[in-house]
Amino acid sequence: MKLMEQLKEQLFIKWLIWQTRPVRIYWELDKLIKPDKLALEDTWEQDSPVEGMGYRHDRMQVTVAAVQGELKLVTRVEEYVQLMHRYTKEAVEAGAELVVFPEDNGAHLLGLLPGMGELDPALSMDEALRELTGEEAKVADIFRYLAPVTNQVFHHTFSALARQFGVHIMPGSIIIPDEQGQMVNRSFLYDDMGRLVGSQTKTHLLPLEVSWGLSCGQEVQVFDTPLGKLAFPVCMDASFYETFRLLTLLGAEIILLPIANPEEYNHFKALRGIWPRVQENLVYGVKSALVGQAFGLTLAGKSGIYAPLELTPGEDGIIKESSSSDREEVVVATLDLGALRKRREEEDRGRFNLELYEKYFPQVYRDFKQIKKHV
Amino acid sequence: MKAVRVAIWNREVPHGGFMPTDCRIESLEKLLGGKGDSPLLVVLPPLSCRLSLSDHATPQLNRLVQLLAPWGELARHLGVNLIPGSFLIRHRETLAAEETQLHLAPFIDNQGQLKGFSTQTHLSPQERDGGWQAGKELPLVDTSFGRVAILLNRDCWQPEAWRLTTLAGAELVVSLTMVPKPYTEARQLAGSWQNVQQNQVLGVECSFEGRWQGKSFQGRNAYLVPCEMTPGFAGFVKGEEQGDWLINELSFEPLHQVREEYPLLEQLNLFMYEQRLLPLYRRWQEEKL
Repeated sequence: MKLMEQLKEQLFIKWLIWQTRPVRIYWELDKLIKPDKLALEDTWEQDSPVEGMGYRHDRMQVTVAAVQGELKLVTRVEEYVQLMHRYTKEAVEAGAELVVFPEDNGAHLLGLLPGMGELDPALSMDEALRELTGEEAKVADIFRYLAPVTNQVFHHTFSALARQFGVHIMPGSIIIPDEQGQMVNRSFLYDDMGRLVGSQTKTHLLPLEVSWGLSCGQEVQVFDTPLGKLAFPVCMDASFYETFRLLTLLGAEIILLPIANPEEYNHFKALRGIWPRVQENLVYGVKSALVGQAFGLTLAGKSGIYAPLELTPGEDGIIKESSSSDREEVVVATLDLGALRKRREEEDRGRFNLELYEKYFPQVYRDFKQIKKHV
Repeated sequence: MKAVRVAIWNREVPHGGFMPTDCRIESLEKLLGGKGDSPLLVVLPPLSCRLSLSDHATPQLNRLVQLLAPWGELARHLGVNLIPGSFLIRHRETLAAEETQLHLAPFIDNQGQLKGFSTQTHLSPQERDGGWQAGKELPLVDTSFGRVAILLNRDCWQPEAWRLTTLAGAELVVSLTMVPKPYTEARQLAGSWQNVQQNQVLGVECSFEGRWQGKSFQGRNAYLVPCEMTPGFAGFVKGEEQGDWLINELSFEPLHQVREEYPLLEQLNLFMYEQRLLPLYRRWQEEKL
């Protein structure tokens, strides 16, 4: 790349960072909320999660909200802040103590790239980038380029919203470089003081994401919070029993799942995600879906709050679910942790067959890997 | 094209279960009048298989081949592959060990040979309290139409059982289920249906309808396939009712096509499972003890 092009590129990203600087986020929030509730200092720190050990877990009920958010490309950071504020406010006004947002909840910020909003929405992500840059660009590269902006806006917005409303927020996921520089899809959690509790990298990717150049994580985590033991894998992670099993064995009680499904909604296809995982593991599940049309994709899904069959009024495993699969909604429900713990106690004895697993695991996975290599 | 026709008993299980000489089973012969090209697999519900007319006590495992001989005779006579339901059988691991009961389902081929059997590997608290012992392996049966796994009761809801058998190569999983009355669709979806989806295999669910040990059971027989193989993505294939039986043909070619077009298992995070799964099961066990 020529020197002038490099300079232009660096200047442009610096300009974008300036355009999305935290103070603009706080100014916007200042207009939306009472000033005395807003603290202007940064409280999110990406590398220093809150020490969360030793909560008493004597809470019996938690009210949670699943946001069904629409992907709207924004041209100003203030639009993004307004949108996320509106969802959070609606959830909190309905009593939520924990608000869950969808996967790719930073994709709105792609609209900050000049010209992005004017592109034909039918263009795929690859085509849009080609149109915009005039050259072949990898999708992962554009996310990498925008990462300083996405990180800044995302973290300051949700840290401030969590602090402002005094609630825990799982703001969904964004595509950013990990500590090794590989592009990953990562979700986060903020506590009610606006502090970053932790993050989770998506461990199972869609083929589409693989084609974009993303890498998957190799670890799942459970976070101890005053609301219970929480985990927040991402979308496709729920297609495989292993993810939720690992999380349950690590102690998870409420599993939050941000999704962004790039296909038309279908009831049966939707039943292949969080719903069966909740049944297999006796956990609560909260799914937040991104909906809308963008980059030639139709994003559809129903946000919902799920429980083991016996803990739901219709014994159908659904506590509450959005009424549409393509419009904005906020779904709120109260989870009975006491009932969940009781149900688990009834079932736990003899639930697993360790002798059987010792015989087959992990060899069965190794053998499968070998077979895959030879196909 | 590789395919198998599967006939499932589609009525209440008669009191006391089935004997090989039972006329209702012989009624299959009528049904088989117009035999198709593909082999036929006949499946009876769990705990409906009687091994002897006179002996009502639970038999011993070491007499299995002998006890199943009349069933083998029936399979050979009809020229069908047969899963004659399941039964409880007494078993002692060692001479000094306490006697327990295994819940077991055999597979008999169309020559009348016992090709293998499956034991239930995950038990409910009630089954455990009733002195049942969990099986320690999940063998597959190699048949003329492909590799078959048989899962019993709770195994049908246990994703580990499905993953172990499908990664080992099962393409058809036969679930023998007993669900307390009343039937709910959600319970069925949470079991074999969703496991068929996450493993991309063909499934046959044969459910016990009737009473056993004073309790009522109600389920729905079903032919299950990955959603992508059915219109509307329901994942259920309708069977044809013929007398006491439900019959349908399952083809393997469309399954292979779905696996190719939507390679779900390619996305398994094998490294993570290898590293984490077993140590966490062990830890769970230690904590429970």
